[in-house]
Amino acid sequence: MTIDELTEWFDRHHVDIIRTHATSLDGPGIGKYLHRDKFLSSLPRGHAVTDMALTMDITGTPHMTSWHHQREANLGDIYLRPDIATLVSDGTDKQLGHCICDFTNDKGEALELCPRSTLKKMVSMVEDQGYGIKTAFELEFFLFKESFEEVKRGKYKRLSPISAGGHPGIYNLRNSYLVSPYMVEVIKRLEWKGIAWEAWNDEAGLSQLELNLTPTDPVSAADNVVRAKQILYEVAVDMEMSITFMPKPSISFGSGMHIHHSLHHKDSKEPAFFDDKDANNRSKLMVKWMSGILKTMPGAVSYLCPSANSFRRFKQYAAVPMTVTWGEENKSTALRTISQSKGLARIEHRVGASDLNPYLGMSVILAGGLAGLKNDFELPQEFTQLAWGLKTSDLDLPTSLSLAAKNLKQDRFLKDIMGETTVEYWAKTREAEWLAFHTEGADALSESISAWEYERYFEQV
Amino acid sequence: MEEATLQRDRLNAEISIVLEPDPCPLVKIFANKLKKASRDSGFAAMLKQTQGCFALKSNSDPQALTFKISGNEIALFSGIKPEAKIIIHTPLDDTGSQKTRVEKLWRHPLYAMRVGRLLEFSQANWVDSAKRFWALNKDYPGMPSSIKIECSDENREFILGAELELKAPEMTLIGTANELSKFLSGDTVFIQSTMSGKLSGTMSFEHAVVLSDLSLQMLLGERE
Repeated sequence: MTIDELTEWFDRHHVDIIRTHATSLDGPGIGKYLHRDKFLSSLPRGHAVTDMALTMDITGTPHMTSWHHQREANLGDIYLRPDIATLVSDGTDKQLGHCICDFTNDKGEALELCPRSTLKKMVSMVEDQGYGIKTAFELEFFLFKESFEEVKRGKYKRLSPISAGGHPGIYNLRNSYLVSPYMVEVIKRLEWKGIAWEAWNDEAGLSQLELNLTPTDPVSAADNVVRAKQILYEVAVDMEMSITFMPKPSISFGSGMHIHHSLHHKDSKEPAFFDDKDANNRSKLMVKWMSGILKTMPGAVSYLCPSANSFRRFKQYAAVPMTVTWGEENKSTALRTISQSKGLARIEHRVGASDLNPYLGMSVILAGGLAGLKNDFELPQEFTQLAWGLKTSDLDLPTSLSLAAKNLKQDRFLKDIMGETTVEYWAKTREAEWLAFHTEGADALSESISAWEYERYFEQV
Repeated sequence: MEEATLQRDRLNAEISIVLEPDPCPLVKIFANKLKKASRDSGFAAMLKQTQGCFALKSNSDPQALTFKISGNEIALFSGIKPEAKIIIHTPLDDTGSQKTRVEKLWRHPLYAMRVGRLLEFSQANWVDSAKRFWALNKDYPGMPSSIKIECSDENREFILGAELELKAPEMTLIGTANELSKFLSGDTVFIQSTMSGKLSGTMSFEHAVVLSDLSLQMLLGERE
């Protein structure tokens, strides 16, 4: 859009203020509220933010033990370049518009550490191989009757589920009914912003919900996740309730972010994972792609489970994959393949925690797939039983921030594809998170969720 | 804990340090302290007198670790093992502090005294530490090309790096002999020392981050 077209768009939608939106590496939304004149005058480079907007931890503290050559040596500015294709009006606040942005330097060049630009790079590499990608995210979260203020005042104890009086149990319609007023408002705001959704339902934990977003290209899908999470948060605040994407807010059920994806031939749009000449309908491409995702999975866990709390999900028989395994229609393995129908052929990656940065989570999955295409990895045998309680340790996924970071640092395939400095930087930030977890007040040996984790993650992830 | 899963660091023919898999920071930090201390010829003799099991517990947070000394082997575990003869409650950054309290002291007073001696880690002088620090780190990406160090209580300067006649040092660092030594020996993380006012100076944000990164690696025994 030209400046004139944008001005006309603002007039037509009565938008005077634009909220820019990006994510820091750790995932929280970052942006400013701009007067439309400022928004327009800042184009195409976008408005300035401090270097630390991209490189700070979940608490807003700058990363102090990781350096990257694109960081500003003296706390200078970087920029948020608007992606005009993502401009939408708010619907609830009539004056407000929203625009997703990429982090750039003063020349307008994408920064290597920018999560959205990392994903764009991965998508482009897949496209160079002749394939397009469709992605869908599943969002799991907990909703509580108390406002955030009440939650904090009560020190995160004795939180009241919306479905109190109901029973934990997935798809429970009585529980769902109690949550309906909240979700009706969420859906209204999603649709205002053009975020397509497929379904929502009561999940296994009491007051735990799942929202399924419609498959689309990976960057739009990740944009939709960050916007949907913000909407889910804002509706909770407006209704004086609280919501958390903390993966393990109690020792009971945890929340994941399962990621579905499939490849199609760029030109013909035909599904590339499906081959009806194969006994199991799996194309050679799918086998190679999956072999790469599995080969790089121990390192990828670092991106998929970014917090200390993410790793509390890893319990045997707790519906969370514990091993580098795959299986057809197997929800206990890390990868679940769905291969029986051409239209639905896809891979569901089930390792991710609900607090992952969707741009980075999707990036590391695509990087794994690309590694499979570039190398001749052997696909492990399909797992046809429940993949829990196994004696072998060869297949174990890393179960701590430190082990996952160690695996990532050793993964030459992910470094080769995502960029060595980008991967090294991320691994160091996870080591800093590990250090903070152990030394700032959490009790690592306790099964209970620590006050430190609630204070750090409950509202921010 | 299975033997096969342990990380074993045999320091010399006499002493080995054994860690549990995926050790926590506290275990890594104390393993590194013990490793450095073991370079002292008297350490093995001290170890002989401190056979058995004891634990160290932070008096400000849940961190704790257990030492099991058997022969010339020191095994470190996170948390407090039930077999610990004594439990020392202490500020972890200053184990000799007045705030230290020893649980079960009345049962094992001599043992507590020996443990206290074992955990008195000696501090190298800051100039020697600076020389070692520079030799180890000068080529690390992002390091300043030169550092002027000013010791505030000894009124003494020391310069690390080359080309100093031609240009001013890229960074200055000021602190007491004790604080300089702690940082330069890898006993504290740079950013913590600067934020708490124990060290000061002029530097770029990049240098502050790189020195914090290096000092953390040294503290955890990952860089030597």
